[in-house]
Amino acid sequence: MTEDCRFAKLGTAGDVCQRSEQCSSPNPRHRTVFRILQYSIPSGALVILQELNSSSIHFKQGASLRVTGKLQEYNVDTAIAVIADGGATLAVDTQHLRLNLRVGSIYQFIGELSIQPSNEGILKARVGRNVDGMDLNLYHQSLKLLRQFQSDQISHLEQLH
Amino acid sequence: MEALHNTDVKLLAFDLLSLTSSSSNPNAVCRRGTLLPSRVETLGVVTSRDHKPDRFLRFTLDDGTGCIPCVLWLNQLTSPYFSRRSPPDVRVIAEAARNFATLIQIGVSARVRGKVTFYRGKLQLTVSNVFIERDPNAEILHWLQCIRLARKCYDIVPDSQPVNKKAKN
Repeated sequence: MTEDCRFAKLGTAGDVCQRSEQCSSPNPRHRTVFRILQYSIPSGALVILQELNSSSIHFKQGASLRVTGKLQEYNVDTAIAVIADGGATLAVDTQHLRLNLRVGSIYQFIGELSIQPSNEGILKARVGRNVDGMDLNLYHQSLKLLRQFQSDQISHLEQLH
Repeated sequence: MEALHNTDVKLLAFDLLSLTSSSSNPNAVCRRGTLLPSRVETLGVVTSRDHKPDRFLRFTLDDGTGCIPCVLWLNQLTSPYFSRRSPPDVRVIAEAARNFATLIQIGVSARVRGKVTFYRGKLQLTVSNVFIERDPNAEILHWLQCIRLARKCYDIVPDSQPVNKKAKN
């Protein structure tokens, strides 16, 4: 166990990096902490980039989000990627990912939103994947149906109680 | 529930996580007052992984509506639970489980089948089958299938159950 192991830094739910499972800590506490957190990892709410502005309910410090977009820029030194969809863009911090990023490809990231003093959001990604071939128009339309369904089911459930 | 016999119920995470155990049937779970088979199928992105070789692999599956805790048992060769089964069969099951465990990596889109179980009062999915989806549109299709099945099948309350509901209408 090295002092800079990500296990030692796990403080909030969702603060899990892709390398954490490689920790060979002799200290069982670190693994216990990880195990507890594993069961409290928040789901990344499905959002489209156009919705993610300062008036959005998802635009909150630490909000867990899943975003999708075409890679527009990538800075190798800072590991900051910029993805775009429908004219909107979002910066994504990919420092904890092991992913070969290619400009022009479509990626999906799950992570926590960090709001900068300039009121700009940056997603600290904990999971990323290439989704080249995804029909983004179908994705947006299906997401609307999914939200409607989820809302109907939850209100139905509330009526039952 | 008879109509769904031998099927894996396709559920979104938020729906799956709302299931409760059935006191009357160990192979069923309760979904908003009606019984469903406890065997389910779901699809999502693997967001965490805790591997104990020859014991288990715990992981979470995030489909954007919730995060499902899953457990894949890897102890078939040492567990007394399997001691009464034929050793060649157990070896095949153990080998399959080991292969599934290698497929489950953070960031992959996994279609998982298994049984809804409750461990220390918390719901988890005891995994029996894993398939990695390469098609990025598979998750969209899964959402639409779950919505359709819920509306056309799982939400339909059998006549024999909702006696008080019918009276209300």
